[in-house]
Amino acid sequence: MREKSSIKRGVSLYSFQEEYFLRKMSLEDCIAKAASFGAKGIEIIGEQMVPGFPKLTDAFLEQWFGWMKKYDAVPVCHDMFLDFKKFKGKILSKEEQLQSIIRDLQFANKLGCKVIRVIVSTSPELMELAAPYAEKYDVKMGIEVHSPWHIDNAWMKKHYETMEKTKSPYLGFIPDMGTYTKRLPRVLIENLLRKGADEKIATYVTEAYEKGVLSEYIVGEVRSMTSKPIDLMVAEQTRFYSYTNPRQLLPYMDRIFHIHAKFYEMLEDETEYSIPYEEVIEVLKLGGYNGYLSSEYEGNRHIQDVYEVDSVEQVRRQQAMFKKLLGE
Amino acid sequence: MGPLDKFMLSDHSLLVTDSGCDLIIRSHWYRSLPLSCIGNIGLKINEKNIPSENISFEVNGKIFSFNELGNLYQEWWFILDSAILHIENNFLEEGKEYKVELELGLLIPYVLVGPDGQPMLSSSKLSKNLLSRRKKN
Repeated sequence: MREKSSIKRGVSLYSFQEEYFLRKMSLEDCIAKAASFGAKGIEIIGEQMVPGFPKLTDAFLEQWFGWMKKYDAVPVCHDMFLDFKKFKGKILSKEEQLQSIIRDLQFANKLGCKVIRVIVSTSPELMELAAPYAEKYDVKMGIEVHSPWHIDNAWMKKHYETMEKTKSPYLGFIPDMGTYTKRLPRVLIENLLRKGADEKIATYVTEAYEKGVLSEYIVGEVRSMTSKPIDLMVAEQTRFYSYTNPRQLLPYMDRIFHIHAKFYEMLEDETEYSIPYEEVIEVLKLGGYNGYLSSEYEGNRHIQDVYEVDSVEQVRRQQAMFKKLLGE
Repeated sequence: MGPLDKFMLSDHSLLVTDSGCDLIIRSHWYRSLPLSCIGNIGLKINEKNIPSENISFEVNGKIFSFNELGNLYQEWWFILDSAILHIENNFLEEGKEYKVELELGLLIPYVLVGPDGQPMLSSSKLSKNLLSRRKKN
């Protein structure tokens, strides 16, 4: 019998993007489904699911908190974006970037979210400027550690130095578990095979990736085998995925505010094809993590050409796996 | 190429109007974008190219010319809403099948690429045979 962990379960409603887009599921349905799996922590992308974003009407807020009560759920995280280039021919100035972050902090605060996901391209300098506002609105800012970045690379090290320098308890990380992709997603490779990729090349690429061969070498090798764009695309995929040892998270545990439990394909036996969650969760337990593991399904784009996407069943399976691994 | 390309047009997207035709479209991106992020709209109906200056764009109950879109950074195209492309002087027959080729280029404002930091252009193309219907007033 596993000891019950203090890690909490949640769902990023991004997971249901396909059914939501097709109007098969409303925002309320998404919240209800997540909660029905015992995943009570709700993560939302304002631009995706809040009509009238960035404005929040009283009517929407009343509905939102009503749903939370009805389904015994809690708002946890809003995923923010920094639209650097929304103006024609000009990039946002630093002051405009700061105002954009403040807007999202206020938005999260009104929704009752205590954390925002800060998009990976946000600079450490901007985080430092925003920290006093994060404190003012009592919303923690977690920079998303998204593959191919990982928590120990130069960009994240600069972020960590800023966290240490400011000593702000409002600056931290949101690691995306896509960083622990041990095998390339099968759904991704099968999609490329359907588009005409060569089976032998796909096998070479997936095996080389699993062995840890550098992406540069894989791409180089495939270039020597073929010039077909679709085959080169198979090789190029290895640049966007990464596997690092999850123990790299341990020194940063007190700075980890939230976790994106990315997944591509949950199998019938309730394991993930690419990401070894058993390894990941052991590390999180060891480090005493007590925030949310937030399901983030991203397999729909690879299978929608041939199958009807069932994000709900995919999330159900992942949450069932978490229950087992967390000893619930 | 976006994750939701194939949903840009539905079987009921092509409408015959008194001044030409309308095409009802959905975005192909997973989050809402300001209209300033619409980079290009390419449209062909039965191989005939429709210049973008002949297209006006309706969303949130407001109609804009294609050239206005670039400045509309506070007007959002919500992800669940359809937009209507109004095409002037392109008269179609009612109840006839037309080959519609749509290309929608969205400038993703938070993904900057290349040495000059330009927004990533996510361009989706879809070709579909659509039966034209009379627009109900």
